[in-house]
Amino acid sequence: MLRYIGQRLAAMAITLFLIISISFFVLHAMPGSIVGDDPMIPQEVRKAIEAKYHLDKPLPVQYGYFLKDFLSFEFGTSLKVQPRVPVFNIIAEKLPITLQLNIFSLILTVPLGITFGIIAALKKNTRIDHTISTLTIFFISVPSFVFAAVMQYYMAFKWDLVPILLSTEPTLTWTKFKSMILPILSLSFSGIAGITRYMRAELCDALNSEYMLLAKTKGLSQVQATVKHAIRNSFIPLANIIVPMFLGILGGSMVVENIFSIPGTGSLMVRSINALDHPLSIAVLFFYSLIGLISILLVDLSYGIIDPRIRIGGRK
Amino acid sequence: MKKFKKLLALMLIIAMTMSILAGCGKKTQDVTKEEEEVEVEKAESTGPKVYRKSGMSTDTLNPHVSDSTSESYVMELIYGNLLDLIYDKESEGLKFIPNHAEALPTTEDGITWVFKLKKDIKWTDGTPIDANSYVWSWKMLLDPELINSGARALFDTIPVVNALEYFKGEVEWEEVGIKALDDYTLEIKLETQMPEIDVLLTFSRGYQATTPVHKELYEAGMKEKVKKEGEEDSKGLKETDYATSLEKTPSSGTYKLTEWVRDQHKVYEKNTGTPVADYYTPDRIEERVISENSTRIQLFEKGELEAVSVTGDDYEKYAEDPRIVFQEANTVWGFYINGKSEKNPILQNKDLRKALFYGINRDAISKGVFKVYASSPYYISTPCMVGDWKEGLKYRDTEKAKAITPEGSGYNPELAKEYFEKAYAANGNKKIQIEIIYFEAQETMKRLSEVAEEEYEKLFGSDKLDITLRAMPPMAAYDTYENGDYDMGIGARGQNTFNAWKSMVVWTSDFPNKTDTMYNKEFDELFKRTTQGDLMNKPEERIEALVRMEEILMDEIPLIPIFQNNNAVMYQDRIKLITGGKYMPEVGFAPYQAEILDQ
Repeated sequence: MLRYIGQRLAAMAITLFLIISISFFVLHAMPGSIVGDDPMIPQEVRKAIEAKYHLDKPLPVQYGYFLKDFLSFEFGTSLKVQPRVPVFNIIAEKLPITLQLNIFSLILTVPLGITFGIIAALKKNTRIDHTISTLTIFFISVPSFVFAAVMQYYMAFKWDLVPILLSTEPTLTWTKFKSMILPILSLSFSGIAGITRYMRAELCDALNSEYMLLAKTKGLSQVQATVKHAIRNSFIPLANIIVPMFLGILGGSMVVENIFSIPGTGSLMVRSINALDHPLSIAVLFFYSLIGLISILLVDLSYGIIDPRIRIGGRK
Repeated sequence: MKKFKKLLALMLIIAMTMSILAGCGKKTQDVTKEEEEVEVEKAESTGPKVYRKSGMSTDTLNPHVSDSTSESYVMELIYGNLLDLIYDKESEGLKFIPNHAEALPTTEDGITWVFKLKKDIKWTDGTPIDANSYVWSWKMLLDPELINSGARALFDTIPVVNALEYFKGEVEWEEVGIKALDDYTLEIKLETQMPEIDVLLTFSRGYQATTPVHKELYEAGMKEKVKKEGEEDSKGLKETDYATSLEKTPSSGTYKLTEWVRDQHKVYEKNTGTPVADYYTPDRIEERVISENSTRIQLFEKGELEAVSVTGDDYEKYAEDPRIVFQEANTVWGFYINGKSEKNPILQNKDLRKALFYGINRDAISKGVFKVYASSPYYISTPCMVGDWKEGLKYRDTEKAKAITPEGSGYNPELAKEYFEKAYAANGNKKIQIEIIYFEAQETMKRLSEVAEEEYEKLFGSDKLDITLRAMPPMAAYDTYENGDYDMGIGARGQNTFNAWKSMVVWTSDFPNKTDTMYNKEFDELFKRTTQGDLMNKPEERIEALVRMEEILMDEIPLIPIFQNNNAVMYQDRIKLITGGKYMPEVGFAPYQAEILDQ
């Protein structure tokens, strides 16, 4: 197992290196100048600023500088989005509110998704199942920002039930939580629908399997057989979406954050790319790539925990 | 099937109920609004005045590197400068007033300018500001190792002696034309004479790069970068994180920044003891970062914002609202035409360019697509002033400018067809093909180009003219224009409202960041004479020269001017604008000088 984890970590490091290197070249191939498109900026200033950040050097030379810094874990400071501030400080500053919102969203998403999935599977082909399935498709198809905008218009603006924007209070109070309801709901709908769909499909499959018949023959009731065998087995493919969801709480949703004026991580990537702030773009990419790769590793490892029959990294 | 029908009926009932409830909500709100209006009239001004505004994200408040308009709105509140520019109710115009300076600067020859400073100017933490603080700040601004983008204020906006050379690291600081004659006297020497307005503006208002910086905080945030292998010299190795967070942002202006959560909100409290504080009415300003216009309008409707921009489709809803006032943009948008195109040589034909100039239905774009913009068949926007700025004479209102401006929106189908037929014949009676580049991911820009395509093809005949459209990111589009690899493409040209002559530099032959293809010697000569030469101090001749320059542009047509992006803004009834809704260059509607009634 340890050997397997070690191999995977080594592969992760290579993958990360490739992602970052490709990103470097793609980002530097973008048109425009860090100095901006104001034609009135004198050439002396434009050239001096480009030289300051080595942007006047050939790309391989710039890559050499970058690689040297990268290998010593020196990601540098932001050039435009938060000038002269270390890039990881920028990400760290924006994480708390994103974490807060996404944790609340997860608390809502996972149990509701699993519950609706189980109900739909147990009531397969009944009116309840059809209703849940229809709503599932609806919530998967409609993007979260549409719900965000519609809920903001009706629930906050028209009916005055909750504030239009996220409260500016620094601590989590009731007022602040009230202002977080709409973003939490907007972030949750598609997650709930996704888990419901997976759970229903897997549980339907499990309920029809032969081991369920055997379990019931052994004397277990339908509920006991479902809880002890069917649901547990249904969790194996579910790990594929739930584990990344837990790690995905670190990333925000740009559009939802814009709609509710949330100072989270969601828009950081787009802003840094638009501003040609390459050190920040690469740091954000590195951060999300790392989350992605860890998610995949954890998903693979979780198979063994959920179902002991699956041996990770075992020899033939 | 029956069940499905029942479900559908149920959903329809729910939708209808929601619509009725929404309608009820509106009615209630209207009644509330009427009640509020009555209350506003009765209200007397008591208690602290709070002004709530929307803003955009702020990257930095370091005046030496900041280059965004949204940041300038913050800096003008929290930083002071030698002078301030306000709206003067008496003269109904603009007025420079001394801020950190005792009075407006004095000069005998237009080259050496002297500012006397007040003796009790301080940062909000009590650190004094004197002539030496200004000299140190400008030394940092021009520092050859910091390489600040704002440095151009002292060698490009106004040419301070040796400022550029110091920035390049070619001379010592002692050789630069900036001196503190004593603790409260500043002397600035220019290389050439400059119009008074340019000097006054350079040292006015807190958003200018010339505003002082707090020495201790600036130095505390300074970092020396590690020199890379192969780097020849030490240029650009210093940087500071000054003014990138609340604790690193001091205040020397009318307001103090007391709260700042990046990308979310800011709060400013009035610095009552500062020299120009009495001109500004809000005691507290609260700002929220709101990027969605629909959200801004909702907050405005609920009375949680004092002003909101009304653009596009929203404008149709509020067009008749008496609270609407109009901004005047100092930018003209249009299509660049590549008059030197090798790939598509017919574009070199002046008749074709004139046909496209007169054949564009500007109103269909400015009113049809953008709803609120103004059609502009000219190159110099309406807010640009000429002559003595105190008189506020606008260039477009002069008889000479009116004489060369095409009538109405400049749309003249008959004249356009005449020119087109000549161009068509010059093309050997072959179909003319033109590609228009527009900015991708910007719906209005796409619609603009589609309207232009449709209007041109309808006017000249799709058998004679074929327009194709191509989407490009704005930065890539400008790169393409600079490389000259295009037929036509969307772009804009902004003007300095107080010195329109200076803005003409973009059309000159040797402009380094040239995006157009006009090379005209007479134009270049007039530019030199009006900005550095014999016409600088001859107001009448200078205006005539500007008219001639615009005439040359209208003849060469390096860009087909289409619209000026004037926006509509709506203010709450409780904000009584001191300008009476008139838009003034630099200060806009002067909202912080407005009378604020209690809510």
